[in-house]
Amino acid sequence: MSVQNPTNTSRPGATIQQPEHLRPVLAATSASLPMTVRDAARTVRALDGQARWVQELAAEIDADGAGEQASEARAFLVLAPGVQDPATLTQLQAAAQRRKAPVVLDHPFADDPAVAGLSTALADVDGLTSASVRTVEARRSLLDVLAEQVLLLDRLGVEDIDLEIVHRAHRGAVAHGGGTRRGTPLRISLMAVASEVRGSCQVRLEGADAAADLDLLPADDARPAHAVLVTDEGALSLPARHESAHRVALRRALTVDAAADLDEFARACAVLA
Amino acid sequence: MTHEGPLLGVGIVGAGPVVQAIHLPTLARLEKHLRVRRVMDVDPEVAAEVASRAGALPCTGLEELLEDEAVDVVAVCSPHGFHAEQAIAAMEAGKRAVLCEKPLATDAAGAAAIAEVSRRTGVPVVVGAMHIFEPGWLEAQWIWQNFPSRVHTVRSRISLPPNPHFEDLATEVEGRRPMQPGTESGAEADAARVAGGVLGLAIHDLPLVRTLLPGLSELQVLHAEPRAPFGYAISADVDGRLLQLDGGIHSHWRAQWTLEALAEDAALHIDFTPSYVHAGSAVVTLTGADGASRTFGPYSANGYEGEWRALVAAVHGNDRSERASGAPGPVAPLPEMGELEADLDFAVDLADRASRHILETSEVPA
Repeated sequence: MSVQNPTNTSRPGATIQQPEHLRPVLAATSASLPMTVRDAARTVRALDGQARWVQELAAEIDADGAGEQASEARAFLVLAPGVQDPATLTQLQAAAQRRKAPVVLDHPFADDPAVAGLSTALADVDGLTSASVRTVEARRSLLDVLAEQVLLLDRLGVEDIDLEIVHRAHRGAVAHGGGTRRGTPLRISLMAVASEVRGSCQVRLEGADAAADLDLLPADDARPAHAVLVTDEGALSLPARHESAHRVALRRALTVDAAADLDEFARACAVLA
Repeated sequence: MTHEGPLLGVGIVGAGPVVQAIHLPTLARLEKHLRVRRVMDVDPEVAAEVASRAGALPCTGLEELLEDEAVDVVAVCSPHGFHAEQAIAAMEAGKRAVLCEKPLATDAAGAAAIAEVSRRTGVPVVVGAMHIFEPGWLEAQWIWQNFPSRVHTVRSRISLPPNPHFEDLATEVEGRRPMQPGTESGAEADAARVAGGVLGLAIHDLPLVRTLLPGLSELQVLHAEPRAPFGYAISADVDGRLLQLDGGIHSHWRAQWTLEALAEDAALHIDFTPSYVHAGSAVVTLTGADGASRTFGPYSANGYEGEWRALVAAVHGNDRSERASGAPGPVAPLPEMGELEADLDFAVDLADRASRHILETSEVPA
């Protein structure tokens, strides 16, 4: 992976610079966005999060700050970022803020807007005592998948997450631990499985009197997630949001002036450190 | 080949909620093959009430039931500790088949004793592990070729309301004993809860797990913990393959019961209906890496009916897997006694290792 020879997807306003192998995903995502978004007057440099993305990003930000010509990026987009040293991420966040270059991380499942939708629906729901997340995916490191699961739980309001990875092999990883949600202790089970079969991420929150299910499909599929809230009154199916994680991330990269994604991801990485 | 044959008289030992809510309604659906003749319970009022529902005679002692010549086959539905003794007594009494509720026995010695008598007398034994008799599970096995040899991950997830929620939907339960949630705390109580969860809840799917993880020899529990008020979370390494078991009871209405197995190139997903209710069968889906999938079910009957059909087939000498006349799906082949013993060994071993893991990891360093 390299961005040394990026190809440009030029539009009247926005420019997305990307390594060639990311082009299909970004071109499709960009094409699916409303004109007012994709024609924003901004340059976005996209990086593959599966390699030495932190070093590359740091170099790009430094180059921006030094006024060099190496980078014209105004915003950075990192696809499927892998686990990194939390301190490094925090330092990078500070550097990006100094340079006024927002760094947006594109998490393939956690950025699905259904996560935020369910979080809102759960805002007043107390008493959830267990959370389990199971992801099936073939192309990412299982540790990276676990980190995204931690981030996802964080976005669903789970705090004080403390985990132990009890199994890590090339086809599966498992972590168990605990946290709190709205002051209630909550037990956590995370499972990442490598398989070429259709990817998915399944989140289950359970309590004595309520439960929540979130079934997320791969961002590349752009199919809406299914989120359900269960109470004594019945099961509430939350509205389908036809906005994939990729669309959410690219839209933000094209429009926001500041992002705290690196700090947020640093917290998730710290849990697994 | 069909299962048509003389009507078989059924004697039921123990007349608790499982019999009232599950077996009596199931047997009523199979009245062309089976008829309840005798119901035994140590509580005479329960025996009389439950027997009257089936038009059978009540009794309070096992001998009376076994001496009844109208009883051809015996269903052992008593508390777990009595299973081995009563199943053996039924076989020794010359009955033609035994359906024993799970677990077959409480330890390997009990299972071995049942197996020895079954082999000697030739009396077939069916364990009420209803999920192995699910039509969709059987259909999937017929087409999945060597799928289990490629499975690297199995996950069972059971999330249910308390049993009375469904028992009351099925029938008016006579003589129910209230559940007494454990109030003890500490590692020993946690270990006991997890072992109870394995033998009381996870055990439903463990025979399927054995099928999906063939040739298992090394079982290592990686993590085990109880879930309040009743439940467990267990991760285990099975010969390099991953087994995840999550189970629990909650207070709300929704039931979820799934089993999934994953290989590099294929996945199996099963949605089971909850226990007690007669809500049709499980739905089984096999998916390939190309995204194509095949779904089996729902059928109009589930594994409860399947286990009785398997017993009838065994008595009439048709104990190979087949689609019986009038059956809503395939009828399971009767598992060999050795398989039943291995199922129990696996369950007891898992429960034992999970509870030991809790005790060992909770030890405070000196």
